Amino acid sequence: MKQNLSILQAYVRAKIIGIILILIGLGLFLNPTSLNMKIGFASILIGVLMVFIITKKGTPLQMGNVQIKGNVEAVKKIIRELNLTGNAIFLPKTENLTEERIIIPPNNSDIIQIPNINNDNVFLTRWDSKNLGISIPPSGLQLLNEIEKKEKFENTKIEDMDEKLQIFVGMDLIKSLSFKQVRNCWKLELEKPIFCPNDPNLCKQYPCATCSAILIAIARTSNGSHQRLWVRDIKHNGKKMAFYLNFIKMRAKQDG
Amino acid sequence: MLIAEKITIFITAWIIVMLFVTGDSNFEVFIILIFIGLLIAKEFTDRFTTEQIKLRMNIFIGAFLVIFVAAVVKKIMPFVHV
Repeated sequence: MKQNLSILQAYVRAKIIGIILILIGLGLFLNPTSLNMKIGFASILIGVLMVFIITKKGTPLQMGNVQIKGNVEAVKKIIRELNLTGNAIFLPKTENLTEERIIIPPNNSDIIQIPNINNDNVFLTRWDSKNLGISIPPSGLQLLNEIEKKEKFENTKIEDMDEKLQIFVGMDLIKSLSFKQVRNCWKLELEKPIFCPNDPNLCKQYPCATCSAILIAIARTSNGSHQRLWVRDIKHNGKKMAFYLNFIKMRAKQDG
Repeated sequence: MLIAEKITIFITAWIIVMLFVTGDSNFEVFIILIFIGLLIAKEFTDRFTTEQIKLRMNIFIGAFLVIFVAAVVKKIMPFVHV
């Protein structure tokens, strides 16, 4: 509780400065010359803006982290038990797949062998019973569906995604985000979400809800509609993190 | 930095600049210039802001709209009487 009311938090400081400015403004109105009136009005207006516009009422950090920790631990256990070491592949919707899925392959060299899957597939095996990984719904699917009520991502050009994805910043889910092409892949760089598991291995295989929602949005673009989005690599750097992404063409024939 | 903080900084800077620009001239001009600043801030940030901030910005804009209408009425009243 003390942490939430700390004077170090931006919105608390803004409110204190705002109230001081309002008082200064009212003080200037006591000596109402033309200039004092103007400065007083400006001071009151800035003060009111600081008090009313800058607000930060959210779930306390600890509580939020605890809420996502349970799911994260469950997925981590499944990945460990099945000995899956491959990075996540986001599958777009198809005729047989009514919502996006995330595939975690056994290793990164097997990504080409991913079969076409449908809604019922969870544990993926080849004709010779070789393990091809698991197919599960991404953690950010519901979050993205909610965001898509305001901003649609389907049929967006990949070049326009940097601008479109700023909605995540606008909704205070993350503080900054950039999406651009670098050499032979796409780089998604963002400041870590508020509720970040801070586990690079998990981010590679099963990103948290916020990162996952952004990645599905990218997978939904026109470029991704017939291609799979593969998380090639990830780098954590202090407050920021970067996903290196590649689009992989889907197979023409089902071989699962 | 949150979008709300950026908006507040922009409007604060706008108000200070307008304070210097208008100097000792008419108070109404100063108010209307602030109103324009609020509209610019609203227009450029609308798609990035939460519903809560949108509502609060609209309250400010509404208040300034009332002042703007009052200023216009005050200016045209002498002509209406003539």
